[in-house]
Amino acid sequence: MAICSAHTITSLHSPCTTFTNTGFGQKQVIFFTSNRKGGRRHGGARSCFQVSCSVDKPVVIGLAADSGCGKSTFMRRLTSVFGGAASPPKGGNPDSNTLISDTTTVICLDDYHSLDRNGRKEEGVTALDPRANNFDLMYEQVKAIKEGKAIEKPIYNHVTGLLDPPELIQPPKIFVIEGLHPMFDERVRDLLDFSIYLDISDDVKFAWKIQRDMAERGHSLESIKASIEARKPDFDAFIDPQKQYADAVIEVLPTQLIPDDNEGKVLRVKLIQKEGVKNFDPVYLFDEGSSISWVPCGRKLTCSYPGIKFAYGPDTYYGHEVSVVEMDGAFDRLDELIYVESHLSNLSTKFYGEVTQQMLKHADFPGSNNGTGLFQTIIGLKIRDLYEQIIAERAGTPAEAAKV
Amino acid sequence: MASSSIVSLVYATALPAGAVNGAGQPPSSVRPWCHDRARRQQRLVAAAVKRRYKGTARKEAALAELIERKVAEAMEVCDGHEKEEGCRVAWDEVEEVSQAKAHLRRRLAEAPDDPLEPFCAHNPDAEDCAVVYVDD
Repeated sequence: MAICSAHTITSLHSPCTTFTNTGFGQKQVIFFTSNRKGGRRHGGARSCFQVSCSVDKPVVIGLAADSGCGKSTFMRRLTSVFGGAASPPKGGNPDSNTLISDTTTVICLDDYHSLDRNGRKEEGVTALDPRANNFDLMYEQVKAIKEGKAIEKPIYNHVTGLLDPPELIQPPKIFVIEGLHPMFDERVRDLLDFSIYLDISDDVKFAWKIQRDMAERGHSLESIKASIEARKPDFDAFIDPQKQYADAVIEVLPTQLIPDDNEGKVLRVKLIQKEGVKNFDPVYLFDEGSSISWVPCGRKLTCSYPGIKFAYGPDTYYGHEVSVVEMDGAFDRLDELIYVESHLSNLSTKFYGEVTQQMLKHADFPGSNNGTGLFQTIIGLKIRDLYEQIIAERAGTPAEAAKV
Repeated sequence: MASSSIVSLVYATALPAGAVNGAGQPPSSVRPWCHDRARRQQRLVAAAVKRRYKGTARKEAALAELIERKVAEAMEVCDGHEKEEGCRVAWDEVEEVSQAKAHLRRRLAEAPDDPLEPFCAHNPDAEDCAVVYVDD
């Protein structure tokens, strides 16, 4: 929904000139009328009507994740909630990390590396180190997008390890910045309307990386383990502290239902939601503010081993008040999903069964049968709700919006 | 351009190759593959092998070779100097390239069989995409 304002421009002697593109992403329509019928007393005054519609200023979301950019399942679920499939920009660099759909654009913060692979080798810094990233450029460009201007964003090519020529990004409705440092710089943090941190515990990370890399010839169990261990100090020093700034944290831990489980097939996932965030009402189970422990499997619902266990309660996280919803176990059947969904509240769904529908739509994505998929989908719906609230707010104050 | 998938029977140990099952259940067995049991678990896995462009196959091979090289490099640099920054940077490079390979694998797995499909989705007016109805 664009906010348009129309006003007349009267010029006495010169004809109406067309305004060239101001480069601010504004679409302008000029109606030219000339006053020819009689009454030319005032020296041929012509009036032009100028209607200018400004592109909506986007809602900016930040996602901190270690699993690569724009490729993660979370992003695909998020863009699917908004509708439309996200794909890399057409006709551009094939190694671009950007994902564009009708409503959403996801950019990878690796594009703001100030040092390419060789540079980092020379300096002796990993990609996790803030010294390898250009936070000034990141701040400038996110600010520009937030104001509704198009940006020329650099591209970091993960295959060659070089910085490629920039690509043009138009401001979308929802702008997601995904990467290792979305909340590291304070200025960028202030621009975010909502921020999420994906916290994977070490055991689960190990299991996932093995699944990802064991098929490769060059890798072995030892190399994968060494790789994780070597990155850990930088990760703990620079990336982990961003947890405290996130509005929502999805924590993935090994299950407690199966003793000594190291396969990592069943997961325990916690959704930690900060209280008091604008336009965000945390999801709860049964009764907001109380502590609940819930096993849905029983007489009404039969689950297979190891079953499902839920917990909900208020807590403190790095000094903030939070509400935590936790799920341990895996979904086996459709009716388990819908049963669970019908008992969760404040999901921001538009119809009954929307969460289940979204989960089924992407049943082939990893995590579709456990808390990772469930909470990622729920966060996606929450972001949609946040977006609609912000837009409604802006529409409620058109004078303010038209000023910009 | 006939790009139909051909089914080939492939013997595989515990984990299937990424091209087939890139989006399967994420956390899987952590058993070391050199374990005795792995040999007993060798089973026939029917894998649908997609046809690839020469360039794609070359890119895949180049990335795989790059991973091998980087891992060897990292092992060498870290030999004895585990805590040094050189070691950390080397393993970070390995991680970066592994991520790139995983991304490529997934992209290929999700690619439509007909390369004309995505082209026509964006250029319905192109000559190659014209649909002609013949009334006989």
